[in-house]
Amino acid sequence: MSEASPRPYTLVAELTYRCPLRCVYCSNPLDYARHGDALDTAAWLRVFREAEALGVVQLHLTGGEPLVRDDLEPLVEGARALDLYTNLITSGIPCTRERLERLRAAGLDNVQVSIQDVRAPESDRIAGLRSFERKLEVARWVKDLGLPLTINTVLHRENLDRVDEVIELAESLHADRLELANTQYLAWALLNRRALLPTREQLDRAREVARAARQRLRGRMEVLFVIPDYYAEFPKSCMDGWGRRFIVVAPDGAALPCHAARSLPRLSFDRVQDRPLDEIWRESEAFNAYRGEAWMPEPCRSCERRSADFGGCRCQAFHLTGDAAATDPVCSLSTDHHLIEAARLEAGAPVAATIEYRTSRSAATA
Amino acid sequence: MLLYPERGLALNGTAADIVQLCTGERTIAEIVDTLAGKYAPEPRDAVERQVLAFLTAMVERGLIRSEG
Repeated sequence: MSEASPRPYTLVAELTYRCPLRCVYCSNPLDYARHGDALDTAAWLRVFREAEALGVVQLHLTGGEPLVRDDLEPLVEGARALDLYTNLITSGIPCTRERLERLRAAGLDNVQVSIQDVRAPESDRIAGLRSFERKLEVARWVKDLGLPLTINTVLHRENLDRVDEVIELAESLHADRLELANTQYLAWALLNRRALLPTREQLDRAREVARAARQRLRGRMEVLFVIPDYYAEFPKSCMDGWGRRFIVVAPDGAALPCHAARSLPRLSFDRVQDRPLDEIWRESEAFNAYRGEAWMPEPCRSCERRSADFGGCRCQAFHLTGDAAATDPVCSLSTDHHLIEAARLEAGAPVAATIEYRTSRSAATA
Repeated sequence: MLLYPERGLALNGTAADIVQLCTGERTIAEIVDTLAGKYAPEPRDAVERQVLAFLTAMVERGLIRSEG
């Protein structure tokens, strides 16, 4: 057991992996269909209580699509009673105005609606479902009901040149916050990397547009622009450091240091049904595996950035190098950085890559 | 702590006092009056300067909005 465990601030409750959308960059695991919903309302409420006792103040209700669960109202009510800041992260499908009203009454603090693109055909193509018009309607209900609205648009090669239109759309919906989040290449997005990874020129132009909008909209709409790791010089501090600020609980009850952690080899994850959350947080093998700095190889070990980026993303390191303890290859100091450079080079050439939708069938073969 | 999507801002005692008075019903002058009472003998104009500086920063971040 570590001397002084850090305090987690955020619980990410992945209530279910079920989702009517089939987004080509879904961050759920490739074998999501193997992990059913194992926690009932009472079990989730217990997880919320245990998380709050550990120091958690932020709760993300997500999935999959959290709205497919019919017990969202009591879950929000329970979270409110614990004084957690509760954010519903949704595709907006399936939703009704009445349900949103009930969730607001239960104490929901914020609603984040994903919109895949600015026009119906493109948005629906990425989502694999006709959903664009309905999403706009849901976003309008959120504001009509007086709830704060975050719009989240995942960016990639096909929509990055329309960032100005994404900003216009978010403004027209009176969003309080716009997340322009570039795809990160893990899970389904890694399968589809050839079709999704943008060029550096695309990224630079979009970043400039977002920067100008941030200035112009200051105080009205917060504009966040998250670059893809693949174009960063140094890795991001993934999850703010392993086992440091975040706890993810998956639909089957597995407690994870990040939502992609189960794609890592040789790690076993305790389930919240079997062990109290504070014990999992402080003592479990999985949460301690890459916590702190003792696990770090060179060049991280002696790098002055190690306390800022914590060595980057473990999942990215594993999926690109085969070694989960390697320095994130995104880092320009990594000996595996050529893997990232090769992918960037590939993005510079025109591609006619096919895209693979999230499905349970391909998950079986992946 | 002031919480908003995906983040939180740890407020010091004075900042927390100000935020708690931002109920949507008080004017800035009323907030300053209340706090000047609490922080006496701190002069009212010193309190006012602090309140305005803090509220301006919060409005710029979109965390507090002024009505009317």
